[in-house]
Amino acid sequence: MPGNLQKFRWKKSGEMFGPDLVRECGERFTDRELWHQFQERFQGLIFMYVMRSLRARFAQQDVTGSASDLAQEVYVKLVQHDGRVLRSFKGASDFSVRAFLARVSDSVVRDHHRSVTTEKRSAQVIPIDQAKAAEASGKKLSDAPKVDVSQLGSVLSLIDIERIIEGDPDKKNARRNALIFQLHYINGLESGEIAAFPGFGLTTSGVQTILARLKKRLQG
Amino acid sequence: MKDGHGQCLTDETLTEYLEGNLEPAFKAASESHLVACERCRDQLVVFMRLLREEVTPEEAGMLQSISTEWDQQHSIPMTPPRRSSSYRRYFVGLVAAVAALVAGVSLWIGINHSAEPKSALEVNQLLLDQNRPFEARMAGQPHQPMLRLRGVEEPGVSYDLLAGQMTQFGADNYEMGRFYLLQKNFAKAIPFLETAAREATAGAAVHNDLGVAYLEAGNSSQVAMAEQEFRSALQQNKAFAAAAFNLALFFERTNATAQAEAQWKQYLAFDAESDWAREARERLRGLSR
Repeated sequence: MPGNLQKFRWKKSGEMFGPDLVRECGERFTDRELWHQFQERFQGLIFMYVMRSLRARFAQQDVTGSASDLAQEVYVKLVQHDGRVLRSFKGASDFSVRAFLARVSDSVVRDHHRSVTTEKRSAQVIPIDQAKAAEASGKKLSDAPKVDVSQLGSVLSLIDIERIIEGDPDKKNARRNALIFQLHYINGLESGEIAAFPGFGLTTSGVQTILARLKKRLQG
Repeated sequence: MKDGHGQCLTDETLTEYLEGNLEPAFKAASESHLVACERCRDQLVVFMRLLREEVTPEEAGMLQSISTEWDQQHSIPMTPPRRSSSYRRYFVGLVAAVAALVAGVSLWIGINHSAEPKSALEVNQLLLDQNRPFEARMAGQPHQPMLRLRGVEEPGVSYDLLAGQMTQFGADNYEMGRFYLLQKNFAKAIPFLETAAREATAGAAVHNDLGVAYLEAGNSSQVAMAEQEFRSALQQNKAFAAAAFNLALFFERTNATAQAEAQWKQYLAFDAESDWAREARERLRGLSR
């Protein structure tokens, strides 16, 4: 995890509870003060989620222009159809608000990604002469799909994962532990990143202990 | 989606799993699925990365750029840069954007529930009535003085929330072009207006507004194309006042003073009384000094 980290401000004392604010915005479109609060508290998060989602999906560094446009799309998605998306929010914690905004932001970026990918796919026309020449020489076209190395890795890992689950003495949490193992060794998440989510119910050292135990078992 | 390991998990289930909100039996079933389904696990990882609370310095810099871009798109000038932390600068940008969005929401509400425009044309007209975006004159634009204020330059209208409304109204290329032109989002406005201008039915108003987009975009090659559009508008309708006004403005901007004087006089020949005429007269006086 990089050093010199900063955290976003979340809630000042006296402000409306985040989940209530989201729901109220869905109900009271005409409340200027309410929307002021919404933007003050959540716009930074929307920018961040759109930016992170774009970077994850497009693997590009400069996402400024697209992020700003897509943040607009997030607002449109929130308020269209008389705020159906806002009113559908059922969360009861600050985390649930963040998760809600992350889901909406990510879905906007996914739609964008799909449309861009479709455009690219339809534009990828290989000249017939080039195809014939490649066929005659027995060479593969440079545009031909490559073997997905990560797929290969996951096939191999499934065998190991089954071994981990079967052999884990902590039967109750065997699948959670296997998932943590995958998140760390396949998806590259650090112990602290995993422990940050209450769903795993573990501290960073708890995650590290599980990783060490499972790794040892696999090596043995 | 279903596959060998059961139904794929929704985004909501994935984030509820991360929050620890799932019922024990559902949680166990979700874990079994996540272990076996690479696609769902990848999506879980996306959410874990999105929801990370810490913001790296690199991300903070990028957020600052996004905030600046947002402000530019919404015509809200940034506070002059100060020697402070990037988070602080980012927050200042946010405050400026707050005003824009609140105004936008109010306007959207106003349009939705009070004025109730029935078409994209009416939405654009309502926006045109609210403020004057630039010196050039769009078709059907009522006169308003060009304000040059420090700080917040415009009434702070944000148009983003209206985009969905325009789509619902089935706005055509011309109206979408005008919609983005009103935002001074020339990169989006010009392609729409160019498409509209290629249509067989394109009238003087379309050519005029495309000319306005070229003229106000500030790109020198596009500025040169503005003249042709104003002339096309005038060819279709010699009395099209907006195009005559804009052509004079074009000559002013390109330092063709003699042509500008002649064109302002020509404009005043058929519009001597309106507020636009008063502005034309002031401009003509300015050229004579």
